[in-house]
Amino acid sequence: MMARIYAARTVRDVVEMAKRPAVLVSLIFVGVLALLPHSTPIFRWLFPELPRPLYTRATFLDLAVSHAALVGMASLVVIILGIGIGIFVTRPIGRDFAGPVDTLAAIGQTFPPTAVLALAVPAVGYGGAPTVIALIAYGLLPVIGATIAGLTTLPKAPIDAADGIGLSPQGRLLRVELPLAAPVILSGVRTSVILNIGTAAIGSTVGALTLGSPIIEGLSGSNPAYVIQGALLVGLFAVATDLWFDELEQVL
Amino acid sequence: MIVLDRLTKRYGNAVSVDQLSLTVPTGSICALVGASGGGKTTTLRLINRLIEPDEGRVLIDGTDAASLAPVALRRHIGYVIQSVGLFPHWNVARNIATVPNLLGWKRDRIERRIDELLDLVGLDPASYRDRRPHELSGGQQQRVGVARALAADPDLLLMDEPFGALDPVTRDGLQLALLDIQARTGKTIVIVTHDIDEAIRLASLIAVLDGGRLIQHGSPHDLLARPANAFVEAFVGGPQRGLRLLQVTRVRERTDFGESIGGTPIDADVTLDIALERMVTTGAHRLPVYDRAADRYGTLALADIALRNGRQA
Repeated sequence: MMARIYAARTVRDVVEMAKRPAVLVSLIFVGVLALLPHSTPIFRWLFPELPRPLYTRATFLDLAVSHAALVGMASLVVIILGIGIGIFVTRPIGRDFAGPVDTLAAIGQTFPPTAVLALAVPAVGYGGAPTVIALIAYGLLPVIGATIAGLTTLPKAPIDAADGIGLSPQGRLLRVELPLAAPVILSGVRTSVILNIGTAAIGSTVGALTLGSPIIEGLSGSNPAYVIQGALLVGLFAVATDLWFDELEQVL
Repeated sequence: MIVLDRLTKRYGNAVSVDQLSLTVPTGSICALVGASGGGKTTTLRLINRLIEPDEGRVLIDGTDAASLAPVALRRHIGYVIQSVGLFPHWNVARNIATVPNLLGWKRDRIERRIDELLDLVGLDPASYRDRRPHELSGGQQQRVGVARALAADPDLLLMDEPFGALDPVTRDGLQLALLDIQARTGKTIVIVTHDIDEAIRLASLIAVLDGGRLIQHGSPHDLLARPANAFVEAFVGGPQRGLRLLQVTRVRERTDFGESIGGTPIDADVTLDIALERMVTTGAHRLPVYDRAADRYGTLALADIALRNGRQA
């Protein structure tokens, strides 16, 4: 009897949880990831002319894990570097660098990711490395931009008060400025990460294992089923991640 | 005791503070008054070294402020600004605890101090400790601002137009609270204000600044009775000067203790504006006065209110 009540409560909790968009889309993503390997009949029915309607060169799980790892690595560097640079150029010692850094980051952004990949391959070879470099170059601007915006548009009163009552410059940065700028900085990180989940797919053109691999192979081999399979997973991955940022913003 | 010794601060060719010397005795409230751009705020910020002077020095109880590390110096000087500047991401208790935390006080000492200060500024600790700044009214925020400034028990409190953004009723309450706090703690307070009534009400020493220069300083009575020039005269009240002078002069000073008349006496320690108000409302030309300190009676005549007024006071 008690067990049944607990079970009912647990079911209700799970249902409540699943109503949150981030959880729901994540569950759908995992579900599609798990069911896709068994979906050959569906794609055979949709594309009867294709001899092999399901991508099998690597498992979808491997693709997803590798994709997430590439984005995760790049994002980690982007967050540390981007916030670090943003902090540096808003301090008195780094103020002179604000202009050049802005220009550099903007160039990184306007460079097509494929061009970064093409340039990185001769330097570091094929595979994941050039992809991570491209993602870092591409993802840096939103984070630097948001960090600068967040730190330079703070309300003046708390900053003035912080100085006046004796916070050191570092204390002011850590205790007052960064916490107050956090929502703006987070929105930059969000843009960067979501952008790079999409961009990482292009890494498959230089041999990185990503959810873009089926897309690239489908495009070059005229296999629309592969393209759909890859695109579906990349899309769900990006939307799920974006929704988790929503949750994170609410916590802040 | 705070000594400002020939302080000068220039911005390019403009002189913001010009050879300013002023002594603020320990335990007194000194108001820096003057028009906007007169150098009041710059002078205040020179004291806690938010601005460094080009010339001159600041001595705090005999110690040259320039010989101390600015951050450490500021932790021992309270600082209150018009825009309050509470940290919006922290609750009231944590805001107040900022400096004690920086100074490494023990947890329970900080907790006790927070309650003590909330009591001092007239907010109930139980119901205000955990509130966020945005849940407070402007007046309550400034009360917390004052509590934060007093947290580490500094001997000196600097206030930059602390009540300038508040409505008259709230401002009135906070001025009374500040006088009460000063009376209870004996802090030395330097307050910047452009409101001469606030200066008269709070300060025992008023310094009038114009163009970065100290034009005149003295007690409110000195300034009202003997303004040094037309600028001070205009600033301390113009047509209102006589009325304000009544507010800073005690009945005792105009009472004839040689004779006494019947009726309910007024206290010799109240100010002349109150006596005059009573004469006007009751139609009396003479009021009985009781001097509590000396236990004696006297008489205040309407004619005596005006008698030694103005420049000959």
